Amino acid sequence: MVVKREDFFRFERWPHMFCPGCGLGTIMNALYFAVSELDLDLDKLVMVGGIGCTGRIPGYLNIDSMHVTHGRAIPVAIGLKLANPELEVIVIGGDGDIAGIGGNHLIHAARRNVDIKVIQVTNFNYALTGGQLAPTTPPGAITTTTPFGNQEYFFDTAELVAAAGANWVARYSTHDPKGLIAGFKKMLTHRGFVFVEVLSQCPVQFGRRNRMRNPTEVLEWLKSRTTYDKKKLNELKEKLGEPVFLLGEIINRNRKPIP
Amino acid sequence: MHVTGLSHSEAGYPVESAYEHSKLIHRLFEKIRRRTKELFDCEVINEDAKIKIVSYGSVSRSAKLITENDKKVGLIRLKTLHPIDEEMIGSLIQDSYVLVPEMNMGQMFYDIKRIGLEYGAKEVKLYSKIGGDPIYPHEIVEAIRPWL
Repeated sequence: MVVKREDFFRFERWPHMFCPGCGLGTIMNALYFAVSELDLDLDKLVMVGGIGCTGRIPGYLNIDSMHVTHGRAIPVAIGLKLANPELEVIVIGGDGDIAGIGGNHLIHAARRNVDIKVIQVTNFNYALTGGQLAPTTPPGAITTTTPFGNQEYFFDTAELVAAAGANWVARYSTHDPKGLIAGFKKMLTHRGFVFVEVLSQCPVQFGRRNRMRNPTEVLEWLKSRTTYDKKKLNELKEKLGEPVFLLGEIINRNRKPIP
Repeated sequence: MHVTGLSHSEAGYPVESAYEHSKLIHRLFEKIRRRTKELFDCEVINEDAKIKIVSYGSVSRSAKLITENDKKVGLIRLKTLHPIDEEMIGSLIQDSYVLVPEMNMGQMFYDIKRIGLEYGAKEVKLYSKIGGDPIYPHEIVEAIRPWL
C-alpha cells in the first residue's frame, strides 16, 4: 500500500451522491487498491467521465479529471492522450454513456486501438435519469420506459469491443471484489485499447422494479448468472436463460497502439 | 484539477444549488458583456451612405460587390455575432435605410431591428432566402431599389 487512501480520494467532497447500496463504492475502492498495489504516480493518471452516476466518479478522486458531455468521454480522452502521450488516461462511464449514447465512439476507438483504458459500469439501466431502458437491459426486465417488461435483446458490449479490435477486453462483477481488483491491475498494465465491463448492482432504480429491492439480492442475482469458466456458460444458459455473463479475460491481443 | 460542464461552485466541483447556479450564469454572462467593446469586430464600407446593408458570412461578399460599384450603398460586415456592440451599430444605422439579407428566416434581423428602433433608423428590412442557394448581388439590388 504505497498510495494512501487520503491521497486518492477527495474526502472534502464527501458525502458522495451515490445511493445506499450502490456498486460504485466497490468499484472506486477496487480502483484504489489496484492503483495502490501497482504504486502508480497519481500525477500521471487522468480520468474522464461522461454523464451519469458513474461519470461522477472522477470528481471524487484526487487526480486530474474531466467531466464532459453525454457519451463523449472517449473522444475527450483520445484528445488528452494525443496531446500528452505520457499520461495514463482512464475513461469511466455507465452503460448508457459508453454503450448507448457514445457507442460509435467506443467501437471506433477500439478499431483504431487508441492507448486508453475504458471502464464500463453496467447497471442494466439509465439510473441517474430515473431508471429508463438502456442498451444492456436484459429481456423481460421492468424499467420506467418498459413497464410490461423489455421486449428487446441486449448489447454484449465486451464481445462487441473485442470484435471491434481492442487489445484487451475483460468482464468483472461487483459481487467478486477480489477478482475486480485483480482485473483492474491487469487493465492498468496492458497497452492499447483496453476495455473492462464491470457488472454492478443498482438496487434503487433497477433492483426495486425487478423484485430485488435489497442490494444483496441484486448481488446474488449477479453471482448466479456469472461464471469465470467458459465451459459452464452454456450449462448456465440452459438452466437460467438470458442473461448470463462470462467473467474474466475475453480477448488478449498485441496489436500496435496509437499514439 | 477537476473540469466539469455541470454548474459548479467557485471550488470547481458540481453543486446542486439554485443560488450557486445563478451566481455562475451571471458571472459567465457578465464576463462577455463587460468585454463587448474588446470582443466585437466589424468592417464598415461607405460609412456616410444613407442605405446600409448589415450582413455576415457569404452574404456579405455579395453585398461587398454592390458597395464597390455604388458609393450610395454602405456595408456593415459583422465579424462577431455575439456580443454585439449596440452603441456602435446604432450610431452607424442612425437615420438610414437598413437591409439585412440572410439565408434564414431572419435571425440577426430582429436584433438589428431592435437597435434600429432604439437609435432611430428610418427603416429596417429583411431579405430572406431559403433553400441553400447563395444570395446573389442582383437580389440585394432588387431589395434596396425602392430606397435608391
